[in-house]
Amino acid sequence: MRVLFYHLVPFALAHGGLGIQILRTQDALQEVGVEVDYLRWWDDKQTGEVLHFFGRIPTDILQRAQQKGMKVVQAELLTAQGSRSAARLRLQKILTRMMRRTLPPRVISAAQWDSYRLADACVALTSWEARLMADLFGAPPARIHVIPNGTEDVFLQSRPSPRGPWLVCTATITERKRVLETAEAALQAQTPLWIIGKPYSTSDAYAKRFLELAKAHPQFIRYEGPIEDRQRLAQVYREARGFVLLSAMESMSLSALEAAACECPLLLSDLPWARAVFGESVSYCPVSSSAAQNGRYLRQFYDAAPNLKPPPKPLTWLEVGQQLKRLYETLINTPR
Amino acid sequence: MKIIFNFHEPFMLAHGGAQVQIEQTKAALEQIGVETGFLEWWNENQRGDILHHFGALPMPLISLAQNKGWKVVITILLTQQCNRPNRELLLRKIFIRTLMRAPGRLRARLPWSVFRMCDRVVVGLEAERQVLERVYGAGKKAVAVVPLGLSEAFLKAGPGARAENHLICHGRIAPTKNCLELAQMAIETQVPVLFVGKPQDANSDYWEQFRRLVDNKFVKHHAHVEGEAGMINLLQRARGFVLMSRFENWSLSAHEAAACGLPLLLSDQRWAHERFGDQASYFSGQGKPAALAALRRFYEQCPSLPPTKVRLYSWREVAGTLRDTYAQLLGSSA
Repeated sequence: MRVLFYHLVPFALAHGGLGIQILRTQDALQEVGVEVDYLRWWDDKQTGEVLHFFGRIPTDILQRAQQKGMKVVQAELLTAQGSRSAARLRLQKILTRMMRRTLPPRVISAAQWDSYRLADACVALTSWEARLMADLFGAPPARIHVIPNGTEDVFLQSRPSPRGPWLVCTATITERKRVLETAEAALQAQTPLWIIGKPYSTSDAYAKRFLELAKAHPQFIRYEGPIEDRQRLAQVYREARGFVLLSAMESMSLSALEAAACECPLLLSDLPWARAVFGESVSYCPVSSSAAQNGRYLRQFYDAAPNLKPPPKPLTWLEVGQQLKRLYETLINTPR
Repeated sequence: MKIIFNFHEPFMLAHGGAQVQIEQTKAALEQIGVETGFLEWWNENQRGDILHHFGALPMPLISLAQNKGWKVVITILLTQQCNRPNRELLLRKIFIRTLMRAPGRLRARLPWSVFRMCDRVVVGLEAERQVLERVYGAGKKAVAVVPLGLSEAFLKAGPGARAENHLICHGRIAPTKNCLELAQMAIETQVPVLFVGKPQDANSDYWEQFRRLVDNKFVKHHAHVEGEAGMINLLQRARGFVLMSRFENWSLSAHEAAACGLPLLLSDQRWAHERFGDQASYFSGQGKPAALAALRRFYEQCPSLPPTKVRLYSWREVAGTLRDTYAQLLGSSA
């Protein structure tokens, strides 16, 4: 069985969780005996039985792949939609229906909504995302499969260490992750916070503001850039007082899973993905622009962290690979 | 200078002009000493100075590339737009320009903002440049008109015997090319036409209907031709070339036919007039009777029509023009 992975955002331009997800999934699938190739768009001789597209696949590409006899798996992260309020989602659904009824097919086709209806399988990371795929985009429920992200063994097999004074936040330095706001809250609450990550670009205005803040308050904001060594990162999670991620939007944070694998207590934005994955086993902070309010939640978490129970352990990538392998086998053996 | 080429539609799923254009452009650039690479989406260590994307490019990708210090060039086909009547273009212009007055954040989400964000938009035709400037409001300096080339084999081909009794039409068998309609007209007018090309969708009704018309008398079909030499041979033997597409852009196939010295019968559209002017015949006039008459007339006149003579470009010349454009963007001399 050969599976072709395809994604339209080059890793050279945007680092982040999705890149890690794709690389780890590939490794895991190969470990369970599935041949995985990255789709080389320029190679007209490349072949595969399954096209696994990370993102929303353009409908014409999907149809051409199916015409070639391939099965198409679509795995789009509904990061923005999954973080919207119920009222906004209702509004989106109404607007989508109105647009479908009133706008010309050519305009509608640009949104690639039909890909949800036509894909042989849609992979959701959480039950919440699965619900959105069906509700908002009309994906047939029988074709939606919830397969979460995995976590690397280096985190799952890490050894306990005495916990230190720093809260840790691992994220790209960008607006969506609200790293600057988290740092401001930490200053307000006087809780030491170690930010690990890098911006998409050092010339980015948001990143510059964060860097200035960190530089001005080294006693509370520790920033030394990203940590590439996964062993070292696992050790940081093991020694952290707690893990904090106050993003405005997420689909399934890999860094939160890594911290959970290291039995680190978590403080997360109160978003549906987090509730779906961690339930009541972690602490939550409402998404708010108030540094004072965020500071209060941060302080509360900081004080409580040493006595909090660790969150449940996430799946290994190998388990994820096995789930995907079963899905591919079913697709290949089922006539369309 | 390193140029990274990108295209979203995998060649394994669709053959066509874009593949030829990208492959030939890349090879020619390498020949004149410009380093190029295909974008490996999974390779986080890939580096380049310019991202040259073919087709529509989402705005977030443009921002990401520019934030990394890359220049962004897109080559687009405004196939339908550049052939629309002036009245339609004016309406479109009013609509788009009105929307583009929206506040910054909303405006940035409109697809036409891409043309203002990119460092350079490359088109093949002057008609496309006019659409970009007049309708979409792209700046004059932001647009480069770069022709498409032909391989050395075609450039050296020249006219042949033209001894066969059929006209030839090569390219995908697809609704946009009006192949089915042309085949029906071939039968009605008893003008033999040889179609050369694969179906766009072998499972479609369109292909099935076309296939049923193949009688090897008036409608002939070759799905596959071995190499350029085979194609040149078929073209040189044909009586003339016919293309009745709904819309076309540059049309590599029409240029290949011209390189083989064939008289051309083309849709009466801007692209064709810009490239072939009075050197070609056209399906002018309204309605089917006029089209049938044009086809029959062209067929009868073909033997006495001289070979089409228009300026043809080599891929090397195309690469030279592109190299100048890239160099300009990077602020160095070519």
